[in-house]
Amino acid sequence: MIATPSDEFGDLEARWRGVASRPADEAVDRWIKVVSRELAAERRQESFRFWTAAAALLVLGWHLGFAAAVLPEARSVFFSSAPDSGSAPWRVREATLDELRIALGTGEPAFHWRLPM
Amino acid sequence: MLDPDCARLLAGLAAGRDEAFAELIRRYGPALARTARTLVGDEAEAEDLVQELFVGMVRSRKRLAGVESLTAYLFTALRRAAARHCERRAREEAARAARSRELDKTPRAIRSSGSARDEELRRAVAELPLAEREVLALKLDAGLTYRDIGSLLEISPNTAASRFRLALERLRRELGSTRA
Repeated sequence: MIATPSDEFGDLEARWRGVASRPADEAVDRWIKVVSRELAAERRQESFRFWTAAAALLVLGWHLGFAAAVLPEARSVFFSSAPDSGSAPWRVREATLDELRIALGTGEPAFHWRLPM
Repeated sequence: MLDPDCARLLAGLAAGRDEAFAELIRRYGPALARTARTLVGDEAEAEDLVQELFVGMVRSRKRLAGVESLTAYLFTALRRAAARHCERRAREEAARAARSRELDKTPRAIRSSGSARDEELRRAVAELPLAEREVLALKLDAGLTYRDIGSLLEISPNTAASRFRLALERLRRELGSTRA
């Protein structure tokens, strides 16, 4: 059978579809595996970021709590009275350094640490 | 307005669910691969390009919640990736062989096994101007409508249709002349 020009080129679209289509199952399976691995890696990274942030917050909270607990003690050592008692808060107790020196010399703690619970 | 099925898929993708990505790949992967192959002209490179596209979607999945049309999003991303790929390849090849002048945006003839007649058609498609090749790929490989192609390429549906006709006419001429 002799092909006429219209037979030859009239089905260009269909021909291209035939040429272009090929089983992409292998590629699809490979992409699914790659994407799955990428998702797992992203999840691990997110989990690492979360726990790092949580640990940083915990440490920061502990330090803040510690400072809040210790500051009143420190203030009572270094200042003659509490700031809200009417006297000047910046007036350092005269006996403070002596007390510390004695405490350090005797091995007794200068003031008691109160740890946050 | 997003259809519920697409909205469900997008929500799954944004949440980073494996099964949503598997569904996306099964649904769009083959059409994206065919389109990429027509755009870049090489099967292996096209598959790599589509893989990179999916991996990129995993990394930027939080932004997918705001996507209005998944089809437009995917094919726009593919088109840009293919253009970048062709430019990079052209630069590399031009640097390797400064003598070659036909590398700019023309893809290599598509390498694949097949009959001589198929090879001839592949080569003719690979030599189409980029604007026509894009429309041909989006129409025949991706199965998009002229309206979709128009919004994707930022041209009117009529322009998309005329580029498609031009591409077919050019192919007919090209294939006719090689047979003459």
